[in-house]
Amino acid sequence: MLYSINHLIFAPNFQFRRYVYKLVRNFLTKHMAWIVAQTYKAIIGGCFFSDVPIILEIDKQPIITVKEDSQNNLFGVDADINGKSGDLIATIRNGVIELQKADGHVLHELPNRQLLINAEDGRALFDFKSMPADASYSFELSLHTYLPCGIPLSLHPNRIRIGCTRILRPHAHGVILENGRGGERAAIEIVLPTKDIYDGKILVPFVEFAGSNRPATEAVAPRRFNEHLGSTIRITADNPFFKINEPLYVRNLGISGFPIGISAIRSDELGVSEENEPETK
Amino acid sequence: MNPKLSEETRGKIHAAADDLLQKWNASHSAIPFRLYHYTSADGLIGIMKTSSFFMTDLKYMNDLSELQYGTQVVDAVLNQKKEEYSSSPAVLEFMKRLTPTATSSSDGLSIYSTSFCENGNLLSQWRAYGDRGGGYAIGIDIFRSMPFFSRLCTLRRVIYERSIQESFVSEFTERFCRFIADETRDKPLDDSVLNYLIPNVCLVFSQLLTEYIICFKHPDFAEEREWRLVFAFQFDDPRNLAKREMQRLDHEKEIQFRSYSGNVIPYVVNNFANAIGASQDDSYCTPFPVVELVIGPTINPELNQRSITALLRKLAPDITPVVLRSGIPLRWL
Repeated sequence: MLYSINHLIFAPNFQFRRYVYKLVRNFLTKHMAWIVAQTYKAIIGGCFFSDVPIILEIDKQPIITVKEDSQNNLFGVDADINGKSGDLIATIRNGVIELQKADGHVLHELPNRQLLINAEDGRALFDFKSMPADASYSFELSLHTYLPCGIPLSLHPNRIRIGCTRILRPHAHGVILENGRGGERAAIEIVLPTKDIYDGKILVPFVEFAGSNRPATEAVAPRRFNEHLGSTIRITADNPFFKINEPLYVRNLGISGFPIGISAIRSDELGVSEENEPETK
Repeated sequence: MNPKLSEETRGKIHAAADDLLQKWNASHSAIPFRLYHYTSADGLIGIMKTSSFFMTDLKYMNDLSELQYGTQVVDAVLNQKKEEYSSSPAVLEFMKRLTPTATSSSDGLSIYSTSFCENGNLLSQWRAYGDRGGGYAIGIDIFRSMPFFSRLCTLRRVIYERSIQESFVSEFTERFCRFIADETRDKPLDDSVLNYLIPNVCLVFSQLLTEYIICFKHPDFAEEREWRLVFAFQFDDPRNLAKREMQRLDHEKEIQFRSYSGNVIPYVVNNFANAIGASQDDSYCTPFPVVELVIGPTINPELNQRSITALLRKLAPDITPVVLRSGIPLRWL
């Protein structure tokens, strides 16, 4: 098997870790005051997020929320990890992972990292890294899940992907993306669908970049971060739904203040076959 | 494990080994998010071109005294234990048969390793790899990439504090000495002890001892904060000599050789192409293995930064490589 999980060798003291983990979890639940984080910096899906309490929302319903224990300056998230068929694999509340489907999944609880892995193929479903106090941001998050509507969401360490090839999915709108001032990320690059044809019309979100409105297909992503400090890309929704053949990719951006929002989803547009999306068990 | 040993005795040996191993593993669990492999320009190009690391036979690592140091630590503790258990003839016999070098490495089985440092900007390493400039530190997310390496490796933190080294070996030796003393109390040194109990304990002991020896380093090297990616060829059934010999011959075919300072150095290749493949699949949530690359002090850092960015982009066109420069001035080399 190409990605053999036989190479996963981190389990010898699993029982001990699990015991410590339960103790810590109980302590966290009882003694800490978790609130929605308003002020923080983090690398989420390879993008720099600054002060975005809700990472992703659908119909104004939060899907991934950043939480903070203000007393102890700890960060965590609220999110659900779903399988392709909609089954709940794990819930994460206040940064504590509760495995709902333990079969075939391995949870590594390291001092500074939580990692949930599909034991069969090595896919990481959730990876949360707490950075040291002197780092320029507080944590790194990557995860792979399916949204309640069935759309796959990958907060990959190098990029964010919403949707996948050949799926009918809704238009992502209301996205406000901003490269963070003083951030370390080197470039701004946004890859949007270029051949979205619906009812004979080309339907692409418009990107407002550096004060000018241009179709996304014409948006030229500047390579050098320093040339465009503080500039803003806005993706607005002229059309709430449209048919596309490619997923939405977001790379190397700074996202500030507002969540990635997805508008209402029409269920009859879903359920179309997907490529390269093996079943997540 | 020999079938002539009782189930209970076998269970006790395993329980002791598992317990010790658990504590040992815990000391290696805080794996940093990225570890740096220092190399020269030629090494960097070779690693990127072939998507693989060389894992050098530990006996041929740059500093031969590294393994000797670990052996000395073990020797010192064993001598101390000999005195403590001088009243137990079985323990003395056990000690007699034990030599710190009686590890897997002297048994025709070599251990291969690639070294990594926690710090990506170490003057001592720049001096070692780039005396005229041209050293590079490849920062890798080992924890996420390791499952996709072509070889089944373990990652071990090097321990520099002498007191911690001694404490590990001491606890470990004490556990087995006490076990033998308890098992043979008021018993003669008969066939079951000399030919079954002691050899079996020796086997387990030497396997664990190898783990310690390869992780101990002199305190003077502490600033390196080194981790070792370790690989050893496995035998299905070590007691089946014929099968073992055949497997050994197979293993030898995989060994390659390179020259270093006039010496011929054995190594094996560890390929990470699958880790790159996994990073390109969104659903794997696995980062591109090279998460950062630091250019050592050099005359032309800007030019190198450009060429290395291009080199990394060739492997993964859709990532933005993080290529940093060491702030250390060249004149310090």
